[in-house]
Amino acid sequence: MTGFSFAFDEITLVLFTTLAPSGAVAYLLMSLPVMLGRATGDAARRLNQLTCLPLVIAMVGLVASATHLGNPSNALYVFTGVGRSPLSTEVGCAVAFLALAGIYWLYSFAEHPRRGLQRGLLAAIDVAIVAFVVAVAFAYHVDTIITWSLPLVPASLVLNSLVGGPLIALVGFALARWPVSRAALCGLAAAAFVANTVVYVVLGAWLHPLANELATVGQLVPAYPAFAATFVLLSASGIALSWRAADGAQGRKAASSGQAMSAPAAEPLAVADAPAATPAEPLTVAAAPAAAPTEQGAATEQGDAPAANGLPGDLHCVVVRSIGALLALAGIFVMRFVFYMTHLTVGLGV
Amino acid sequence: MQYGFHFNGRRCTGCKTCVLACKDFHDLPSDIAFRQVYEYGGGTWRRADDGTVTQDTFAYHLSVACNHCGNAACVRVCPTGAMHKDERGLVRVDADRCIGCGYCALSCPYRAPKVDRVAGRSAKCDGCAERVAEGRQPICVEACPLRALDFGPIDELRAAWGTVADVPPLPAATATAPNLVVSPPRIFKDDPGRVRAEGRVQNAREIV
Repeated sequence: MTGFSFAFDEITLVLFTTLAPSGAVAYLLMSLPVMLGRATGDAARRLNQLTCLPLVIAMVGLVASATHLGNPSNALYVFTGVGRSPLSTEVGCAVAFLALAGIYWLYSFAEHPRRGLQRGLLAAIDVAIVAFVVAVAFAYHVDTIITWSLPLVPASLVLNSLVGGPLIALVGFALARWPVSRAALCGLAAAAFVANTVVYVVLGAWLHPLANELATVGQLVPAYPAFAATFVLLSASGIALSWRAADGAQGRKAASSGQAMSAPAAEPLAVADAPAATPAEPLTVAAAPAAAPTEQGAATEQGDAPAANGLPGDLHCVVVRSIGALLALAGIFVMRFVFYMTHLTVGLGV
Repeated sequence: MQYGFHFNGRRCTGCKTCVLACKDFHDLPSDIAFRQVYEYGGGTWRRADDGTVTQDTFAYHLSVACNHCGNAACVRVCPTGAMHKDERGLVRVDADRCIGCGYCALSCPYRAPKVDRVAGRSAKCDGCAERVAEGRQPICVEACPLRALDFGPIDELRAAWGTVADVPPLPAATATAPNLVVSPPRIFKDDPGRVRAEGRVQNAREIV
């Protein structure tokens, strides 16, 4: 008896818990420049519209989760259980996030959007995102399921989202041509990755001796260390690839413009990554160039110059960062699969 | 009034008539059973030099269905309220509210709720509520040839048979407060420590 068939039956939930939290965190990160007033004008418009990327990723996860329902026509009754049932609370938070984000995305096409309204909406969305990720983390935290009610299980999902989210956000920022600090985002993903790895090692030790009358965790997940190692390999590769992507883009841009990479006025990505230019920047966005904020869009346009190989300046960066994000998500997917493999209640449930 | 089951572990022979009567009455497919019989046993045997064999094995049977718990995990987690307790305290599924998410099946420590993929909703023992409403016993109780099963107001069953409800392989009664009374098999009454230490489910592959 292994947990593989059980986890495979719940594959849509594996997909959901892989994609939705990471997409939500990516949305939160991409919303910060506009919400904090650092992105304005065309740059803000591009960022707003590109939030559809993490939004679509989160929605793909949610749609996948809906496919495991036997009778979706009764789904509206789910809202009667908000606050009582963890699953209802999760769905309620998801709907709040998606509804607000959808409204915001549509409003981003307005010719003269009100900045105050946008920033207020983004703040509300970010609160909904935090609530959503926490709700997903605790969705199966039921005392009768001994393997899922361990204290570190919710932490592992939150850390999953902090590994995948920043890497997806890096893709979004590249598409939006926003000069983000890849050091901050890759650093966040790397720190979460290290913490996540530690959590999985400790969880593995906690899970191993657990058993009920029908199975042991050792039987359900016979190769936990191999799964954890796969997570480490894939996620570390994803983070490394995302980190190197900016270097490649900068290198080509520098070569095409004939300027040194450290020339801040002409190279927004270099500005973002130069520690001296952003010494006290705690956020994931770079400090604005020395000129007025309204010039940010123009500055980033310069970064979009064709590279030496004829590709748009950011295309290579986008592709490589996308591969990096996919690798990390694949690593997270493996451990989410393992999570469902470990299902074990007290007594007789397997 | 809360209803519940009594199971007499000193009478059950493990014939599984209760299982089949339930499946037949409720017209259940092969992969769904509302009631299961667990064969629980342990011990060893050894052959002596003179060829004789000695053993200290033990085995007993436990017929288990939904225990219509006082603190039912399935009711607690159900997102739509479809899983609910009726006026007799029986845990039932409201088919018009169930979304078939399977959370009830995931959380129950007795494997009572099942997800009927064809119907797209949860399905479980409802204590044969319609028969009970007519003043009759659940079909499993009526079918048992050894009269090892009984059903009725749980206070009356406890007054008659005691309060034991967590004979292995059942989980601790504190988990969900099952409305179940078990008359323990002799081996468990005599040496519960040994049963808990050495016993295991012998027919795990039969269980659906």
